[in-house]
Amino acid sequence: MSDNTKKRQTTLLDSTPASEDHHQALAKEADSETEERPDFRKVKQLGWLPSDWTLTPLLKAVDIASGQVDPKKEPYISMVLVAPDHVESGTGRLLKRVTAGEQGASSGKYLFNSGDIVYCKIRPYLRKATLVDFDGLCSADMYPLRAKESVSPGFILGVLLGERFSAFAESVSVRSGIPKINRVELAEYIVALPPYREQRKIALILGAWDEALAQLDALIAMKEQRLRGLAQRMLTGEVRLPAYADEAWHVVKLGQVFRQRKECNRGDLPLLSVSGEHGIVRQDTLDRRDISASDKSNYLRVAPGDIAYNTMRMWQGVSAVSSEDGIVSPAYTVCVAKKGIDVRFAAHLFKSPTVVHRFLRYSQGLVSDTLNLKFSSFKQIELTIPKSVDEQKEIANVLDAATAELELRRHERTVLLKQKKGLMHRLITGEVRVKLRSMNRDIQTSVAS
Amino acid sequence: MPGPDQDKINNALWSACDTFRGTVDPAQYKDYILVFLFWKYLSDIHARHERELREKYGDNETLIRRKLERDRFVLPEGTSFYYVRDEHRNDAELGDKINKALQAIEDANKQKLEGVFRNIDFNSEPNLGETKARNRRMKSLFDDFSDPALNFSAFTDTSDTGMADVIGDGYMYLISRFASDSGKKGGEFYTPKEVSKLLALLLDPQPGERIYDPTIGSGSLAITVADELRHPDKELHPDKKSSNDFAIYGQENNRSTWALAKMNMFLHNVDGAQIEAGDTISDPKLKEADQLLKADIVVANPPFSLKKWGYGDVQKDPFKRFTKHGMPPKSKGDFAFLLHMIASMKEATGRVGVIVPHGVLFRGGAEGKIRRSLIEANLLQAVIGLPEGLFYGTGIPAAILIFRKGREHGDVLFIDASRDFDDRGTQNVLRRQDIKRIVETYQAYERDPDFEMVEKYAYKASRAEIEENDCNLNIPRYVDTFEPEEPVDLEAVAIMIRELEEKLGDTRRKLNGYLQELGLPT
Repeated sequence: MSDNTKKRQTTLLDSTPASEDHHQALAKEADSETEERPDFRKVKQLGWLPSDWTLTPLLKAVDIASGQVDPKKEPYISMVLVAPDHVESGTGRLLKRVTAGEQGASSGKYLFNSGDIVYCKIRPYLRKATLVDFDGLCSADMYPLRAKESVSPGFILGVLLGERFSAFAESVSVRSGIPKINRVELAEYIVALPPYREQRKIALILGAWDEALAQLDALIAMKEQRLRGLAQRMLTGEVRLPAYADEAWHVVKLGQVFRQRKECNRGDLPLLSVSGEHGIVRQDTLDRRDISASDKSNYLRVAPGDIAYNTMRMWQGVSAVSSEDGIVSPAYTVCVAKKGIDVRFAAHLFKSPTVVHRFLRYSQGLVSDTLNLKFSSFKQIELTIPKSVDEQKEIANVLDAATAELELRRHERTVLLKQKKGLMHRLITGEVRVKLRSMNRDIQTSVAS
Repeated sequence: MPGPDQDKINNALWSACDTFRGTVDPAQYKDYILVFLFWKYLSDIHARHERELREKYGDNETLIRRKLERDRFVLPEGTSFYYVRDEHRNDAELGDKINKALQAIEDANKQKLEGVFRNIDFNSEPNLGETKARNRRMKSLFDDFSDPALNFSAFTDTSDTGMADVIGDGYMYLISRFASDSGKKGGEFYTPKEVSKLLALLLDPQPGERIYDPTIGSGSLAITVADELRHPDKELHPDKKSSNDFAIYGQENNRSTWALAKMNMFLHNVDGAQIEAGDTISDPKLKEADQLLKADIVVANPPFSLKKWGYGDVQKDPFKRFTKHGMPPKSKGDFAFLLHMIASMKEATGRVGVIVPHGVLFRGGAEGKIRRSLIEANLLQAVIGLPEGLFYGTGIPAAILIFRKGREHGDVLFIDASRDFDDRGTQNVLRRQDIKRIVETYQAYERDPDFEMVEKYAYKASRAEIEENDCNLNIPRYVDTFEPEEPVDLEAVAIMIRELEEKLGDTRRKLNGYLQELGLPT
């Protein structure tokens, strides 16, 4: 193993999705006349490849389905119809299974078999392809690809989701209207194929990562449920923390526990942005375009521990606690907690469906687009909360912990996905070679070959 | 013999509009079509009477003439549709001939039709094009209305009332089509017939009552209310007897719409209707002894949030409409119409049914004060929220407010009917079941002192509750439509989490095995 390879391997765990830099590095390597690599040969455009890998046009490795079926008729109407929306971008995961009948499909669709790859030919930059384990239909914006004998579909899926193919697909699809790759262009792509047993082993390995991702997704969904269930019980007093079981809850009007902050002319403070999902963050940390007014004299100050809510969207629950000093657009209402309420507790309460519905009932406007909850209405809303601020804090602690754990799991998913992408890149380019010794055992324990 | 086929008539009428469609704006040509229809109806019914009289009296010309002169209306010699069509269709001055015939009809029926044809000019170059094109259009109109489906004299078996209804309904059909076809242009005065029917059922007119619409438009809302007396809805008002004993009053600011209302009344056999032209707020025409006319039923679909409603004209209102409850804001006329209606309610029996935009329910300032005063005067009976997209020319949802005099309790009924409708693409429509649900709920609230609420639909709010809400009448405050979420089964979730963690642990070991095998960091 060359030093170079070793160096690359050690960086694998924190591998950012096979980056541009990495590509350039590879290309540089390939161009370097001085390098000698045993068991590798250099191929134009593909760079270094293991010498026992063969080059094949994609169409020699797979068949592309042709001929459409009518999804309004049996048996097709009861089959699952895969549409581009149902496939997750970049991961190869199928997100949902809905029948053609349920979708009310009417125009012609392609038929696929279990073991086919369904590849989305429109907007190739979205990188949508999935290996299906059932017979079904797919949108005419997708191609079912059937691996030929002695080609592993799992390996081909890896190729289709990989950097090099995606770059190719994007480059040939840039045309007017909707970017799209066609049959001829697909056929032209040259795939480097390892020996069949190695392909299957690679597919097995990638399949294991997919399995882990699926399990992690299921786990995240369950943790979300748990958070929801905890909130349902703890924010209503249905389940009490034992230490506070004797403490009373009482009804307060929001006006008793919040006052409005209306400080303007604080252009010296950073611009903050409020979102339902990510809370309050600095505008300049977001990808979003800054659409704020140039004159910020009427922007409202938010202090740490204030709750800011979107006056026009509070009926949809858009509010968050600020952790820093800053200003927000006057489209928000800024509330300062008075005595008797813990702001983290209030933040959880303001997300609970019952309370969000209360916000809706106190919002007013001619149509949903103009519904707004002014502070004058907000302060009239009555909520039942623990009298003890300590109990509120404890409840917030529990819910914060459950939220933090969920966030960790979400982060873990992102990391696992990166790991898979990095690994996939190395395996389908032959940069890292698999060992074939333990192959038979693997095949017995897995179906994703 | 079967009765006249309403659909056939409607189709024939709508296709007659093809003569103009595409080249002339509906707001322009609708009056021509409607006047032609009116003219054709008069001519047909006159022809039928004459035929019947001839069959009866042979050639006793004097007797026949005398009898015809005592008809509901008089059609002077040489003014019938057929006469002009047959004698003048090729005249270069065809438009002028039509104008003269109509003017003669108006003059001969002053009491019922005065002023009706004054604003319509069949010789108008700006509206109908140059002479040649104009004459071609007129001839084409004669052909369209010669369609056998539009030969109203053929319906020999129907009573005059029944026939008038058929024509009147065809007339309303056209008006509604113009309203939906042209959006606001020419449609702003039209209340969809389902909404009119709902108001009629809620206001429940009684024999001998006065029905007054201060923004009467083409008159269809008032006629629909009156029809609730002539042909009561037996399902929703089972004990009600048919009666012809009512009087319709109305005022309309738009002159040509006012003419439509007059013709519409005529077509629906409402001969005693008193329809005045002019602005109701700045110049109310319907008066008794210098006071505003008082009616049992005051019903209206006034223009939403009218900006120039006459604020400056009523600072010293001789009728004191804005003294007791307050002066509406300069920029929005909703409460001006509402207060006019309330001032026009009879003592004891008076009731108001009015269509308003939702802002009326919650806007503050001067409007908030008026709202509070009306609630404190114990006039508000019910607030009914309707679905959006029900009215021509606007998508915003409206509400119906019912006020009445002589209320014993201070409760107010709130109904959230916003989710019950038939979605017909661009226009939403109230179905029979939706109307029924609203009316039955309203009736239950009126009759049953123990009525409290209908889950997610209706709620009886006490005065105290409304005052606690600062007299804000926003419907969601009172009718709670919350659908609670399913409780999470935390036991099942805990088990799933344990199982998934275990499986994920196994998988992770497998992944690490592969990484080791590949010589990669785990």
